[in-house]
Amino acid sequence: MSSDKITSDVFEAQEFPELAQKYQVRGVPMTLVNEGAPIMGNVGGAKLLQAVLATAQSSGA
Amino acid sequence: MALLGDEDTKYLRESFSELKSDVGVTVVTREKSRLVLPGADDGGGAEDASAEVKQIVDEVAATSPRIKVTHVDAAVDAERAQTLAGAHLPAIVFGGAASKGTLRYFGLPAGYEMSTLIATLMDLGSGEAMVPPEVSDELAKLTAPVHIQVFVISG
Repeated sequence: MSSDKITSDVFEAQEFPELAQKYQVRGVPMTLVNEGAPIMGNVGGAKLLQAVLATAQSSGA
Repeated sequence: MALLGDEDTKYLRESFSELKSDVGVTVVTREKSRLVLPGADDGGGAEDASAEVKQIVDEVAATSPRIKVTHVDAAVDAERAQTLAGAHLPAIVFGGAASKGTLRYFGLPAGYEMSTLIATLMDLGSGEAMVPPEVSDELAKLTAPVHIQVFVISG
């Protein structure tokens, strides 16, 4: 972890069905950045960084 | 009954012998109530994987002096549990010497997700940066919170 601004959570979807329903988890793994559009499947470092920076830019961070 | 077999324990001891720095692990759970309520099937306790999460983390941590485990019971210290894990339990909250930000696993890291637990401990205890300097520099510029949520299924 390189920033104290980042919180990274992994949820076992079957143990948290209310979250799975809230975020409409239809397959795993599924990644959300600031509850944005879901990214399905394995997410490599470059793609995750891109999503994080895009989210930060859109929020004016 | 132990969750880790002898071969698993041996493998973890060998793997974690390479850890170069301590890794802090806080396990936030909700203990089952010892109060037996009339008509209740289970004594009124919360039904989640708290007991199994505690056990597996303790067994894994026992394979290395570098892995430092703290337990927080939400029934005893609700405020601290809320600060560490929010509204969802059980939670494993990770920390390392050079780690910034918040890194958590919610639920029981069973099956394939056991490798996630092991890899996280190895990464945090490696004493090395987990991303290249140019990536770290970009992330250091963040000024607003970023919340990454990953949904998985064990097994």
